[in-house]
Amino acid sequence: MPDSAPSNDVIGELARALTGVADGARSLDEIAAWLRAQPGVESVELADYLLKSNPPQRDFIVEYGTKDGARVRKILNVCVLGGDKFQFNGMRDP
Amino acid sequence: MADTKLEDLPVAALLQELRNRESRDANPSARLSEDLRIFADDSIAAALIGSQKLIYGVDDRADVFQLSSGPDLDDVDSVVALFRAAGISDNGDGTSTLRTVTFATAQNLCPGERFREQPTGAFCSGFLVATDIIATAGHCVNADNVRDVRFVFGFRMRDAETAETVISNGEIYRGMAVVGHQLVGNGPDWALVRLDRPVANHRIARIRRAGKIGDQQAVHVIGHPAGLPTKFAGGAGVRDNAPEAYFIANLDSYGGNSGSPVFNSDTHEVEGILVRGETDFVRQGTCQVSLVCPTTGCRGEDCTRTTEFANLVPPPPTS
Repeated sequence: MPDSAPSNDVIGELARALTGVADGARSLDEIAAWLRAQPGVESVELADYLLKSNPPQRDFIVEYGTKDGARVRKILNVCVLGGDKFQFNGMRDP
Repeated sequence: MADTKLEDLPVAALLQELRNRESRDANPSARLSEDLRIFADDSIAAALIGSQKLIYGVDDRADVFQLSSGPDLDDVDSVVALFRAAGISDNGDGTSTLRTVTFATAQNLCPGERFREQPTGAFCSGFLVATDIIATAGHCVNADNVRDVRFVFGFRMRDAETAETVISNGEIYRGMAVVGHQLVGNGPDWALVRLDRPVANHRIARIRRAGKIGDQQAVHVIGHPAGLPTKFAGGAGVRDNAPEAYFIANLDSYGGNSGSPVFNSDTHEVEGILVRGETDFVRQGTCQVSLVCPTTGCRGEDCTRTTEFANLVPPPPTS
């Protein structure tokens, strides 16, 4: 799935960690809560649409602050595998 | 309101409550209904499905063998199922077998769900727009995975009981390169893929190249909902024609329909690619049921306009 190069280490670390977190999560709420608790993350929004692949995909729109004070938005994409299972699928620009 | 009866509430209210519950941590602003607080998710889902069947009762999906000869059946000819390379086994005799599982098993479906005994395996849909180019959704294929994707013609039900899962190798094409690609969160979502060889025995779908679909135009979609054999779904129309890169229609679609061509039901020209939409299933007790959307109650299904990529598609040969 499409990835864009992380603009700094913060989002790269976040994406790497999300791989494990999504694998163990039981709900999208749990993933959102984890994202929201990460350092630098300022907001997390679950997009209202379902990307209609099989399995379907959901997008989290994450806004975070960088060390130089800038604010960056990224989309973190998660596959909804069914049976309350999830898989991190990649990161891209909005 | 202690005496609230679920079956008396509007379908839209029940649907909104389920969606709000699902997303309340991710969207703290989503408000839950005080009236519905005492009801469990599965009770609301059961009432929702019951109400929808009672009020709307429409699932327009049909198998290919149910279509009569004519333009609708002709439209099917350009549609492909997308499989991963690992999802196809070469039988060594000029055919390959698609690796599938039963729909009921794949989705833990409740009894009574349509097509539950059919096989499922496709991860997206697509359609032929030039002799060697397939159009699909941008979130289905990209430069990283294109060579791992197989484009399969003919994954359909032969009759009510039999699915075509053994496919002639001549009907299976490999992805070679991404000719064009765009994927924007709530915007355009498309990909054009060059195949390993030209397709000689299937129709090239005509696409709209300029202008836009009419408001409320009747449309139909053909693809692989939930990865099932090809389904035709009509009885739909444009609901919102305002967005620049896509239009919204009330099509019956599921995960796996991404990349499906959305046809103008009058001209049989492709107007869009189905890419996004409403939740497919809701839990009912220990199993899942389809969320059958009311005509105006759901968010609708987003279809990327073909005009977003038409400049990259060679014009059809003039006869």
